[in-house]
Amino acid sequence: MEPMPENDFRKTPRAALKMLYTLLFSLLPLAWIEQDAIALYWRQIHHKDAPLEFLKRFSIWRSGARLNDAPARLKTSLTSEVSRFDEWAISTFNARPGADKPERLALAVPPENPESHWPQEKLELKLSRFIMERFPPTVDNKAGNHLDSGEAATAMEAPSGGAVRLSGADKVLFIGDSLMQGIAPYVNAGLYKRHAIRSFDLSKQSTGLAYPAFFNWPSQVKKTFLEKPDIKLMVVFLGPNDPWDFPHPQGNPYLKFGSENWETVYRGRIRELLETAQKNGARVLWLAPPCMRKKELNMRMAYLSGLFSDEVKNSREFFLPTGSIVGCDSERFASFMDSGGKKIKARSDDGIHFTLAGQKKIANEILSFIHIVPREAAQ
Amino acid sequence: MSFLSIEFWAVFPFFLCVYWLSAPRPDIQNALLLLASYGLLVLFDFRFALFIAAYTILTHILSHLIHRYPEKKFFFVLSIIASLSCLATLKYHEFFRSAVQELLEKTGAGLSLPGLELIVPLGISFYTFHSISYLVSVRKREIVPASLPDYALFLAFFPSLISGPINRARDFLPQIQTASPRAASDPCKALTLLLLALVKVAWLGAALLENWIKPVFNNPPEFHSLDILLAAYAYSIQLYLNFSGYTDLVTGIALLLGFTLPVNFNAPYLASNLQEFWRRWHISLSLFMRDYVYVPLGGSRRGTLRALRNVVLTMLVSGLWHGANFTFLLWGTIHGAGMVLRELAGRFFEKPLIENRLLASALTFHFVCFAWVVFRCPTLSDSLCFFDALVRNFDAPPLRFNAVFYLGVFALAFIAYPRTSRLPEYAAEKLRTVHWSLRPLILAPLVWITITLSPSGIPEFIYAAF
Repeated sequence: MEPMPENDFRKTPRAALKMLYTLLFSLLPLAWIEQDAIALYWRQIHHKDAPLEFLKRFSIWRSGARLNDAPARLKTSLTSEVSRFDEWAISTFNARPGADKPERLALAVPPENPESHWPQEKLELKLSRFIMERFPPTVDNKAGNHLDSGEAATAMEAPSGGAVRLSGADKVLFIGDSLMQGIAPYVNAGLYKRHAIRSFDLSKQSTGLAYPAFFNWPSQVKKTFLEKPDIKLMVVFLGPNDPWDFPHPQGNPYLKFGSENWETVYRGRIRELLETAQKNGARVLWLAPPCMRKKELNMRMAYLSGLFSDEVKNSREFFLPTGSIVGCDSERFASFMDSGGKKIKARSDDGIHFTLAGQKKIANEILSFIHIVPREAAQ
Repeated sequence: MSFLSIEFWAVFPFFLCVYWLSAPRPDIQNALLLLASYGLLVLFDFRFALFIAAYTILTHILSHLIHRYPEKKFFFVLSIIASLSCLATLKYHEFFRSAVQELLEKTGAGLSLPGLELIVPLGISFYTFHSISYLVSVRKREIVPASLPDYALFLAFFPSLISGPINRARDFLPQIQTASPRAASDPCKALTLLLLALVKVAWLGAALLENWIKPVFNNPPEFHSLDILLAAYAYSIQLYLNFSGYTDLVTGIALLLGFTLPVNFNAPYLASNLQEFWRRWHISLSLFMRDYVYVPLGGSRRGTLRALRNVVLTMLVSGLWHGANFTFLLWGTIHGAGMVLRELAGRFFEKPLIENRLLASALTFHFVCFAWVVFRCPTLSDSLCFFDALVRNFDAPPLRFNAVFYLGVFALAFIAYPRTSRLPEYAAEKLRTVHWSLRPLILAPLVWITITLSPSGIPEFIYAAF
């Protein structure tokens, strides 16, 4: 940078021009090289083609995307090398003399004791016990019996009328968007604390079924079931990122949200998820999106919930509307839910996500839906 | 719109073009900045823009009254009450409502307090403090009240609107009020800061979050103690990378606009005690707390006990400022208690307890690191669950991350850290030696490599939630 006296009126535009040149010519090559990522992002966020998409007709523009191939390959191979090293180091550590075997943990909680609150019940520190008694843990340990009270049973429109039965060795898979990211940790923690059941939380913000080029849940789920065949329950929470036009799978123009073609494609993707789980011997619990503060989004969510409900019922799986759990329905948005005569804030200010209390309430409903039985009974 | 989003960087260069074409007229540049700042708020929610406009007008009128009637303290007190009431009502109403609700329940009163459907305006925590600094400066006669557009821009200046740094009126207003043309005085520093922000937030911070922090904090009992320790360290590092990276980003953006924002970080994990940590971490907040909470409370003027009480109270306020949650209060108290203990130890022992600076830094880092666990966990039980698993899970479950190796990497990074803290300045110096026309040839590949290495998605800024 050439030294420039501040406030030099004549030189200011020149210095600014140089700065703009540097900025623009640092960014433009990136727009060229990262064109595919930008196009996907733009579709996902703005539901239309990216502004520079028209340049795709020129082969010189398209060639930019190919520049990404080599670094992407390098990244993949580096990542796999690092993973290999990590796995070697982890297995060496775990195989050290005196190390416990992984099974020990599962054995620590007998499956016939569903009320066991491991590890809380083993807390010996007086301070911990004192505080635990006064500030209950994130997941309400009493939630396991909710189904018996009929509360969850009314919310559930499940054909088999019962709950998912898992053994201590089974695993649970969570897929969904940012709503699931808020809930899955509490279900995961509850299952682990009570039954030493391990879960896999794949939820990822901004994802849905509308833009598989951005994130493809059906193929991700297939891959996950191949790698982890002991998953026996898949919990799905999708929708708020989907109520938009999306490109036709065969590359035709955009399908209009709610149109017949749109619905056919979307239903197909719901079914694909359900069928993958069923083929792998897993049950599905599908959570429907709650009411939304914005009217348009709320109406669209109600429509999507109808599709989810139809397909889930046809597949004889379990469907759980989340709105009623946090005190609202598609007719009326409410931030607060009633809990024992008290008003508790269940929704965050954006009118889409849940507060901590809302997340815990839904997590408890999901937990109440899972019954732990001996391995033979689960099968 | 995130400052790291494609949309922002698709629009911002064009804005810069128009902005610098108006260089001879800073007043037009100010109008453009004000328009952009309000436009940004409208993109989130038009009510955010309406609220800040109303807040600006209210505090602006009060500032004129303070200036006009210097002998009357009433207007100053009223203005501070008005500012804090807005913040308290909008940000903390639910916190106080649920606390009172709990209290009523404990006392047996069967009352259900109605919940208010209020939303927290974006950036309110920051612009409330901006306005307080302005009102205090007007009261102290350090500045005269600014014109309404200048004051509106001071509150809404978009680079520091969402997550700071917290600007002081007497330092920042003159930059707005300048009559002489602004200069893009250090583009190399600005561009280096932008690149650094990308490396810190989008790559390193996001990778730590994705790989270790999220899984472990979601359910600590599932992990081996070493994995949990790794996640605790990783969170301390990620929080620093995320927030200091955000500060680098907005400082770089402000520099591109010809503005200088206050320094917010100075290698905080090199601090050898908590006082020093707070002189290095979120400096603009620490200085604000010192000048507008600690000193008015009496500071250290009325004996040791009062000074210690003031430290704890200041840290409590600082904790609560971060969020309407008891865990933030607890986190502030832990820091306050740590400072009190250190102060007491200093009075009882003539020599410092730990003379080795590296050891003192390591101890301070661990204190701060474990306090961050309380800061991150949504409830106290979750924090306890984390610490319980940390001290118990040495035998089972098995290790799931390569914690032994990466803990070693962290230790090496900690030792090398003092040498790397000047790296950004060094990089900017090197960039200055390159001819301006060739700079994109260096910057574009570096940005490309960073993007390639980063996990997918637009990273979130942790402090945007405060």
